[in-house]
Amino acid sequence: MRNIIFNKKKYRTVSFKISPRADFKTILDMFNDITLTWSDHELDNYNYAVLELVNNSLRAHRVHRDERPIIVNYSVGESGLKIIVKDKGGGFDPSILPYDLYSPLPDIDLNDEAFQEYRERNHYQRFGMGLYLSKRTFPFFSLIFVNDQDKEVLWGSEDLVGTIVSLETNND
Amino acid sequence: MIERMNDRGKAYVKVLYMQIPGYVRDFSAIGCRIDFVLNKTFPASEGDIMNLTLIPDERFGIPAVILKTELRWKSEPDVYQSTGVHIVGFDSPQMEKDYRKIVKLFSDTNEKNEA
Repeated sequence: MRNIIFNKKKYRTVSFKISPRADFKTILDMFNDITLTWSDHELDNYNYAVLELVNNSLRAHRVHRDERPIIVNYSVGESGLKIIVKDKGGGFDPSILPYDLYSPLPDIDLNDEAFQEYRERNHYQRFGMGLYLSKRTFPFFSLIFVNDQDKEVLWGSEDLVGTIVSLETNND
Repeated sequence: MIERMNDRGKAYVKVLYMQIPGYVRDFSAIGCRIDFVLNKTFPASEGDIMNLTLIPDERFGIPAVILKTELRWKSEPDVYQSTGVHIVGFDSPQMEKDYRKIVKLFSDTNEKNEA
């Protein structure tokens, strides 16, 4: 049976509540404590992608002065590892990304003028890579904006409070 | 391999090399492993000198650090182009101090808060 190992114990699901004030080294160590009982040669890449999402969520919570935790859930899914990152950071306008989120990955030039301008505008604190890396790392990716009850809402909705990103591998 | 010669702390620091974005994954006082994200051939070979700009998160209050490094190894490109670099110099003594501050932030002896 497939399991996730965390702190030397086996689980089917591991859920983290991350305070927006958490020390980033502690978060890093937490994800490094995860291993899988099946093929985990890609686990570092999964964790790197999740860290990038968590970093974006932490920033969004700080900007909105929202003290609620960011939830990260690792579970054993039907096809492999399933990861959900849930925040209350107010969502974001997809049109401000330096690329079309729904474009095929090979069509995205990571160093084109739009990316350079985006990074410069954000004083290189943002690379515009978080969602891109998730899409590049995981075969299954979805992003929705949600209201306070985690029900899907559209960008621009008055009820929008956060974002849920769902990721899934297809490990055999 | 350079990464086996020193104790290294897992890290997460943004880095730029010739406008190519990357992430420091671990580092020590003498070198680091960096994963670059690109969809073209990495423009450096083993032995090349690379000027890197490390960009710590604004929360840390540490300014960007320019490192002069030598590329020791690079992996086959996958999601990332992983590289190992050896530090050969800093732009200024202040940058060396700032680099050591960053290393300390991610060292395993650093005091931890609850996540």
